Amino acid sequence: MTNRRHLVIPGLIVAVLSLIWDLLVALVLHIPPGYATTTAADQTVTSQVFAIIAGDIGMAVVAYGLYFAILFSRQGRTAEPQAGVRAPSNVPLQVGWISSCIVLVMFAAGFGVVELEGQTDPALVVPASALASGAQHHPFIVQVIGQQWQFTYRYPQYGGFESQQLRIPTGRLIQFDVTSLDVTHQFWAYQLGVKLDANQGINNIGYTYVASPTIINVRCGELCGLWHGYMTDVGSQAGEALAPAAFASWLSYAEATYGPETKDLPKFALTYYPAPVVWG
Amino acid sequence: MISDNTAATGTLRTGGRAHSPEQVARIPLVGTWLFIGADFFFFVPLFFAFFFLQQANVDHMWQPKGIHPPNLGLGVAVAALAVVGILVAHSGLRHLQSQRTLASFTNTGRLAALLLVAAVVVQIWQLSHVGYGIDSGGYASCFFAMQIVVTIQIGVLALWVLSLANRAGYEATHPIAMPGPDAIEEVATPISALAYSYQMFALFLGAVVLLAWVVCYFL
Amino acid sequence: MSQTAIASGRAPVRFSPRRLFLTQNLVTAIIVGIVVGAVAYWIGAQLDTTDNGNGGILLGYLVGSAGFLVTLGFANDVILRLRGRPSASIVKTAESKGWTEFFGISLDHKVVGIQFGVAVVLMFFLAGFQAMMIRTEFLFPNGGGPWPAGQYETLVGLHGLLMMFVATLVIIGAFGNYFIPIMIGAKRMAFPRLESFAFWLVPLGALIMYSTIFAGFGGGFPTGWWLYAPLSVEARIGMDGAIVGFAFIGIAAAIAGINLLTTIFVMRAPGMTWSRMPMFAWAMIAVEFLSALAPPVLACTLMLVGFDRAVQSSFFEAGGGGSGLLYQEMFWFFGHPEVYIFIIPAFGVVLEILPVFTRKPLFGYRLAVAGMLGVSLMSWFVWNHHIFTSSVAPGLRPFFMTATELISIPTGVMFLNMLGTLWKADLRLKLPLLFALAVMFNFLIGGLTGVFLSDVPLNVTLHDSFFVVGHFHYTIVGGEIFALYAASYFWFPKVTGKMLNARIGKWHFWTALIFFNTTFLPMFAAGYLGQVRRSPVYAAELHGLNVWISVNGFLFGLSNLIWLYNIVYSWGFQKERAPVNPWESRSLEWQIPTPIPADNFPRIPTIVSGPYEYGPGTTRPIAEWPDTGQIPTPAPAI
Ligand code: HEA
Ligand code: HEA
Ligand code: CUA
Ligand SMILES: [Cu+2]
Repeated sequence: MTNRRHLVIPGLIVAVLSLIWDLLVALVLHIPPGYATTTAADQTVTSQVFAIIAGDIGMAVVAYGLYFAILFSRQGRTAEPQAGVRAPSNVPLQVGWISSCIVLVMFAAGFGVVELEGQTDPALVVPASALASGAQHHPFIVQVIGQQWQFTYRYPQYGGFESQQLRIPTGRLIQFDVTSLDVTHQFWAYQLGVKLDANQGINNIGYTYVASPTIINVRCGELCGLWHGYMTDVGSQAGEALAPAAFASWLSYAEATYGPETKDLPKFALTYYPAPVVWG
Repeated sequence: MISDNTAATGTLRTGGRAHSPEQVARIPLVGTWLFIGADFFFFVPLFFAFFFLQQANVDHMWQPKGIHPPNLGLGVAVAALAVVGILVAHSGLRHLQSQRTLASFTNTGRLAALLLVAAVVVQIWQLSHVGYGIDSGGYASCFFAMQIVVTIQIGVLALWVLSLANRAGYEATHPIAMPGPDAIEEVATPISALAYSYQMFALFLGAVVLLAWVVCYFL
Repeated sequence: MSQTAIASGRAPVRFSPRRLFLTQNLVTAIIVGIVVGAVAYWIGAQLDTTDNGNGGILLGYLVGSAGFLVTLGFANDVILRLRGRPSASIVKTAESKGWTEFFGISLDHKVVGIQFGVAVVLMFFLAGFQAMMIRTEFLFPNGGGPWPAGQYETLVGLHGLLMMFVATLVIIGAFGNYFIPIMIGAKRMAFPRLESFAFWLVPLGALIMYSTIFAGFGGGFPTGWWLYAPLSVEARIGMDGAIVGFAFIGIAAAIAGINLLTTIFVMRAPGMTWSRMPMFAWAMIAVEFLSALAPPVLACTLMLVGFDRAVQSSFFEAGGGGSGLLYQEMFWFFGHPEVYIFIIPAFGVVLEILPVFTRKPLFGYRLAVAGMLGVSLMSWFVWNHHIFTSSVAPGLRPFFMTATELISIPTGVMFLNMLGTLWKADLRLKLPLLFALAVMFNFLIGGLTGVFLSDVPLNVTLHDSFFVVGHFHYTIVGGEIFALYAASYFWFPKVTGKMLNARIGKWHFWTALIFFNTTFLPMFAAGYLGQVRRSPVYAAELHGLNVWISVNGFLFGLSNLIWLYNIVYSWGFQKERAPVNPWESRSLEWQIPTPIPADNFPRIPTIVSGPYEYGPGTTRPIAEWPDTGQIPTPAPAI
């Protein structure tokens, strides 16, 4: 029957193309942000899963649409009325379409919820294998303070000294406490797969676990005024996750260098309330 | 309102040269329902802000020292004047719908408008004598914003009921003629339809006034 | 008043200075608006206790706008009603006053439709030109482009806000106002004065928004189209115009929504049952519920920002007990329904066009209606997906993620309708259909990338990156603006009596489709690679990618110029008149003469069958026309 042929041919095309696409996504393409941290790895894997689902759906719709549009186009042939084309609805097809959408959506949502748990529950951020081999579960806390137009970092577990550079240790649960002194900023540590808004008066908490040393590019992602674009720190001097030994030596250096100035800073707090600034 | 209007239902004239009076009279009713919906959503941020900021109490600035809900008396007066004004208009319009007399509503309506204007005046007096300004923290901001918006709408309502009162007087002397079977012109909307949409809005606003009063003074 | 007199062109207008300066018209309205606004500014500045100047400016804008609108004549009817008089008859005034009608208050929905169309398309080109300036900046890495940082942010903000005007109102305002009354067999809109009022807010709002670039050194506003507080509270005086202008879009959209809904609910001709309504009318119902209810939230929120700026209330400043998160919640509660205000009319256009060119009934009419209403309803429950990283209610993120993904289901229904209608069709690949198919293709990509964004872990890496920019240009430009193209090719002959040139149209189609995709597809990659939006600064590695995007963006801009050329050429310089019903459509607007009489139908028709009964063996007329002598009989409902 020709009807069936017109459904099978595009289906075959889709099957072939999807297979190529799926293999490409799973094995060949390097989807950022990569595998430097558990959170980044989560995002990379989720990207792959979604790229496969979305790619396959997209290809199917396009293949059928194009095939029908070309096949049934009137160009070049006279219209011959076809019997039986007037059926305006096909209930089983409608039910089938909607149910498969529901299944796909529920899968995507379920997958997302599980991954989200893994990113936000501190108990799950550190991989079990690392815990088994002695990784510390006790969080290392960094307070990220945004202001127009720079980030500074305080280390409350070490007297609350303040540094212009972000340094964190590998092999430990990292906790970021993000806040802002003025308008809304956003702490986006690209390689870490961490993005947290910095709001005036709010302490926004996020976690990650860095497996191996890496450079960290920090950008402000939220429009925060004239120089928002320049609120970025990239390159090795900006941010780094260091192996425990290297980190320990940086920490003692930093405490010695920046520690004395701590007394000039506001007392450490989760949020700070300066008088509102009016610029310009 | 949303029923299928087939040619069989009497409200629609087939082949008319103008829309039928019944159809034209439904316009303000449906429009007012939708306007009430829109106005409801206009109030949503005000109430939401109240509860959000109260809950957050950022920097202990929800009600800083010395800032508390103002004296209840004036608040009661404003709400009572507004509600009584709305009810007076309401009763007058019910009266009017029974077609007894249009002319008497001219006075009832003006009285209702006067009551609403009185509510606005008392409110202005209250807002300028609270003892603090809109810039005194979260509560003060919400209180002032909410009361200002409500008061402006009461003022508009006063104008609306005034227009109805005048319209009643006009229609008493210039009755609207029913159009002939093949009229080109639409007839003007009769006061009964206008009055009904006014009442829907007035009752809605009355409810908002009371709600705003409860929220501002008691929560 | 005879029908032919109305139909035959516009009356000549004599010029007289007295008429120009002493009556209510656009010129006097502008003069009064400026004068009154200036006085109000001065008074406001005297009253203002701070030195930031916002109070005076806000007052000036608002009072000036009121002066403009009142002088134009919007208070006349209100005053009449206050005095208890019935308002002036609408049908009588629908008589044409000549070309001046386009520069004043018109009670003819067709005039307002054209006003909307012309004004909004002009704004599209203006804002599109700004997009070109944005892309010029991106020819240089690390912020080395021609616009300094401050101007860049204003550029993005103006582009975004102005395009919001365009996207909110282009299909609803132009095609909705023009065609909905005709499609449902009405002689007029329910509230013609409000309709015109909604229109005049548009040029007014746009001008106010543009005036901000003159606000002194580094003028403009630095917040993008979100107007996020506290930045929008602290920003310089340029901000005030953005607030007022944006609020005007909201008010215009809400009024248009109430008006169109009332029209569809009340004014339908006899026999126009729910199951005989054209898809475009259903789309208007679905979208106008959003358009009537969501923008008031925005208007109120912006009012609170204005309070914060002018009288130092503290809704959004943490220093005074406010919270920026409050703004974000309220803004996106409006903002998400807003984006569906863009796409539902586009679906309406596509579903309206498909049956005409496939010569088949629409597949799954009821399902399509349910789908559009479902999208409209569900869009109220997803707004937090814009602020997943902001620390608002983190516990609710799974809910909002799931709700957002669930919207794919009613949206996906539209694709089933399309495929089902194409199946075994008698397809005519004319330009409207080509563009409609392109809408589906582009929106598919836009929608599926939206599902990426709705996943919280992915949103963490993609939020505020160019991936989002890619997503929403695919949905808005690829979806709605392509639907605008489709609608323009489809309905142009009815509005102007001329066909849009098909050969130029083919050029427009292919260049638009290709360059649109080559421009915006790479943005997904740029986002994954870490390019932050609203920033002229990007990493040097991304230089090549950005140059590619920019060049293709320029080419897409040129493609739009082809469209503009086609409109101007076909409207103004083409001699041939279009047939009355060139596409052999069954819908009501094609059954009446072109140009359409001022009151649409001399007599209201009786609808006797559905709009999509195409195909062999369907000869039922759609309506019975009383003036042809037929006796109308009620038809059985389908
Ligand atoms: C026309 C406007 C429009 C439309 C229709 C949409 C549709 C959708 N949008 Fe989009 N969106 C915007 C305009 C639009 N968006 C804008 C302007 C912004 C940014 C504003 C700004 O930040 O400046 C934005 C931002 C935005 C975000 C926030 C991004 C961020 O800042 O972090 C998210 C996150 O969830 C999102 C999701 C979605 C989803 C899930 C849909 C869904 O409705 C899509 C559904 C469609 C499909 C999925 C395709 C067809 C379906 C099928 C073929 C069925 C089968 C499919 C499945 C089973 C999955 N959008
Ligand atoms: C209706 C909605 C709409 C439309 C149609 C467009 C159309 C376009 N947009 Fe826009 N855009 C937005 C809505 C829209 N945009 C929004 C809401 C934002 C977010 C703002 C924010 O962050 O606050 C945004 C942001 C935005 C950015 C991100 C800026 C940033 O974050 O740093 C970019 C960057 O490339 C961009 C580009 C474009 C381009 C190339 C087009 C093209 O499609 C335009 C094509 C049209 C024309 C070009 C006009 C015709 C041509 C001329 C007038 C002659 C000039 C021609 C040449 C020089 C060749 N847009
Ligand atoms: Cu800080 Cu953008
Ligand atoms: Cu959204």
